[in-house]
Amino acid sequence: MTEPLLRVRDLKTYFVTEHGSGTARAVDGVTFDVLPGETLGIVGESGCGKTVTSLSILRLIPEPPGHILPGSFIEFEGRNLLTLDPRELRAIRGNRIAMIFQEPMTSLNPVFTVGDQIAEAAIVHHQVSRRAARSRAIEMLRLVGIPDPDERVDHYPHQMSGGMRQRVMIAMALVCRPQLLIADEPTTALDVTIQAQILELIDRLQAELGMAVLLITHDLGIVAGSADRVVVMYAGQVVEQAPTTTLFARPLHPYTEGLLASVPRLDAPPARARGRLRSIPGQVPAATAWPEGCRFHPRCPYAWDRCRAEEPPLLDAGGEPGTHAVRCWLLTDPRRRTPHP
Amino acid sequence: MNVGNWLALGGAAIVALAAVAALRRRITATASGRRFFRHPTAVPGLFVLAFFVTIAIAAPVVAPYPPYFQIDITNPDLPPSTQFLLGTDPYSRDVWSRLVYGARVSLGIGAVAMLVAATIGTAVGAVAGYFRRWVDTALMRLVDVGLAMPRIFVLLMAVALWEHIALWVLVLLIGLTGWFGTSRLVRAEVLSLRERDFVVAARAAGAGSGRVIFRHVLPNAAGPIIVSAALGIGNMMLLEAGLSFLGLGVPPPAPSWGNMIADGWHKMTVAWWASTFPGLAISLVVMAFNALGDALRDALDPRRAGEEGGEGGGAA
Amino acid sequence: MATWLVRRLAASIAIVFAVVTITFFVIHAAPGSPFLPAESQHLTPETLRRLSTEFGLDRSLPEQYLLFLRNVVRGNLGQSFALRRPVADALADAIPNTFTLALAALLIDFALGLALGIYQAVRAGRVGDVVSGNGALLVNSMPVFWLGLVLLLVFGQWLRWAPVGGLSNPVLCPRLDSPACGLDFLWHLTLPALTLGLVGAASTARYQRAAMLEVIRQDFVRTARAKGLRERRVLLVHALRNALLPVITLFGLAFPFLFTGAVLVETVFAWPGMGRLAVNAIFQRDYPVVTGAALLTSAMVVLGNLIADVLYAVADPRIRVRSETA
Repeated sequence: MTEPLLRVRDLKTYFVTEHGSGTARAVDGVTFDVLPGETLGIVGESGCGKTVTSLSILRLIPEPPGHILPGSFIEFEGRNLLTLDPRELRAIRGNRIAMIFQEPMTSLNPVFTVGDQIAEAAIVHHQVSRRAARSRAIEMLRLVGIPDPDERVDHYPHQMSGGMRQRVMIAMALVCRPQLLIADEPTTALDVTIQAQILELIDRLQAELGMAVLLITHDLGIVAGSADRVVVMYAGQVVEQAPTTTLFARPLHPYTEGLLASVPRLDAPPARARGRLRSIPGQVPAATAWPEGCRFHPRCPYAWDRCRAEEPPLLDAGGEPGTHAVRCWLLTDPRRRTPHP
Repeated sequence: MNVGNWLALGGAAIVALAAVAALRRRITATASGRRFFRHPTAVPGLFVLAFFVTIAIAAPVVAPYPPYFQIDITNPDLPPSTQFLLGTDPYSRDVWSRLVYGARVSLGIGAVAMLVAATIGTAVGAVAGYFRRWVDTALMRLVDVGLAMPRIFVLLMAVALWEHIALWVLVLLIGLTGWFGTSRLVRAEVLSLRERDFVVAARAAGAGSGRVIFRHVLPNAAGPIIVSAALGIGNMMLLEAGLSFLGLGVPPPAPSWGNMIADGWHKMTVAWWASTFPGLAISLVVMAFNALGDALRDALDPRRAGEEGGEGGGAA
Repeated sequence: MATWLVRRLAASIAIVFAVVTITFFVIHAAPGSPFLPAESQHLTPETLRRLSTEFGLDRSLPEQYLLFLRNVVRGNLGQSFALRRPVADALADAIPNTFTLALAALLIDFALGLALGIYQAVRAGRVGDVVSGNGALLVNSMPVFWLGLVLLLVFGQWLRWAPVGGLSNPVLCPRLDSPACGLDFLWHLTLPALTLGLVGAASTARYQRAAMLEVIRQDFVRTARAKGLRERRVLLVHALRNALLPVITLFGLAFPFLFTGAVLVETVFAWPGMGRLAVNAIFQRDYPVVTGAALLTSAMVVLGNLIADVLYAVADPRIRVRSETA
């Protein structure tokens, strides 16, 4: 078993809401590992806590109103990120762990050139000269597939299209050759054709640079295409965790089942294809008031008394220990897996 | 200051508090009302205003002396005491009494000038924003020209050329030189509102332009108009004070906070109270208007309404 | 950029032209004949004759208008009755003083205002922000002449830290001809500039705070942090550079405020600038001086706005460099 690159244990990030509607427990006890060189996908609907999880790793949560609870543990290359002093944390950000965000339009500073922004990371972390940093920036632009990099390096973000801006973000993130790239919904704001290009780019760069990727998305299709392992999140918790092929072939958690079932399939028989799209009934609950017991029970077709009363822990689902885990009482009582009328 | 005056003063404070409390109860029913009162300066601002308006209205009861009354010309410039709450000025008049009566003048002038400015500004902005094209261009060029001339110089010029200007004309002029900013705001609002469905529906139903503007567009543009009015009254009062200080505004012996400062100016070293307290009054009232304007802006801004919903979680 | 500049310049000239035109018609609408006082004994017969020819007082209105335009462009703003000299000369003597006052006030305004605004944005919601915010609100609400009086009383009279008015010590430094006199001038400049500057700074701080808060919320600030930059660099380089843009427009708006305030502050501190000249002229019924001053200040306001717009266009790359994408 290889040593994990990143170990997240029982991460809890809470937010204090303004008008006293209580504390939003956005991330409520999340545990997972990222192995070197692999792509781990974190998938879930809006409001499940996946973005907050990714921001918590680099401690980018705004301190009021949010805070990471003391019991949480995040270890990277043997060091606890949550207890690092600011200087050490800064040395890791953009350098050993890099992050790209969802909105390339607004995530780049409009008043600085693209080249300056890419070079900045190199200058700050590797103390290279401005000239050397500039050629590194041009190199990176070429690496991410931007045409005419020597010209583009002096362009401003507003002179570029969305897809190009995202490439610039990737260049900026990778200029210091990080070990881990956190990609928070990198393609959500882009056109479908550009999405495919960006994902391909990340795949290629991952192979070339040998880094791990933590891919946050709500899109199962992206996860199927790019991730080696998948973590499914719901209501601030991990509800299922498995290698991608296993997850898609044999989803065990009712939520995962529901997610997969709601994806329209081109290979469905005509009768099914003409029918209505299946969806998961109900809505994601508010983070200030997670349901009692199993958080998914109000929307679960199989729920019974135990689900309403007791919150299930992450249980092993067979196979090699640690490969497939599910947070569901159905594992202890498989006969209950019959939907209510 | 006799007992009656003290009672009246206390009464005024209580009335002001009650008014604020009542307003608060009425308004916090709505979300924007709650937003308004969440501002820490909203309540003090309202109270200060209510207090000054109350004592202005109740001046004859609150003030111990009539405003023109010279108590003892041989003994002016008396310091504050229990008899003369804020002392006497160089003409041996009770500063506190003149302050209270002066509130009527200063507040009144500010309000009237603001009314004039708000009306013209809204009208011009609405017309420009609604009819667009050459009407818009022409009116906005006019606004540019208006903004180019510093207000006080325009007023100085008017006073210089028409040697005798009635006070009401001056107040009108203060209003006439202060509508340019409001018109731009209103124009922006109207420009965006005119494309909305409810406007199109009204016009499809046969409503004429005037009706559409007055009954449909303007009520929705009320927010920025109110905010700019609240912030603008302060400026009007400061301008009036400046003019009165120069001797070009409210003619003495009628008290305005501005000319009270002028009265006491030359004796500042001996009797600082005569000029200081009127200035303090102006500062407090203008500050109250500014605080209200800020709170109103936050309360009425539709963008904030949207922000609020997503405040607590921050989850993906 | 160049076309935009030309158009903007043309617009500015048009505005000044409109102001001059309006002023002309206002002068003519007023009772009495233009450029002639009620008591014409202030003017000698030759001056009267000269004025009549220069301004065409016996010609038709359109002709007078054209003559007026020509005179203004040439710098002839008429004759001051009370001072018995051309208005332009009187203004020329007074302008440098107003100018130095305005400049000093502007410096204080922006130095204090920007620093305070940034501080308040960074410490938003905490004690420092709330206290200084309310303090700034109070200062912003003060009548500028009253603040001047209070400062004069406290620092000039009670503490004797500053002179009680005037431009310079009339005995020791009637003219600005030595470094010592330069210092004396600065010493006299302090209080009036501080008065104007403080009130302006209060306003600037409010704007800057709002601008910074707006910028700090932006995604690219989070990106900068994620790159591992020092918080100080994130705020003072990445955020500030964006937050300064709206403040540049504030610079343009400062001019009307400065000129209005100058009138009052110059009166309080007996500072011999344009404002004081205009106010004195009113009491002497010397309206050519007042109208001349009005025209001049309008032109300067327009110029100030033009400079601010140009600065903004240069500073914001989104305007300076045209976008390639549609």
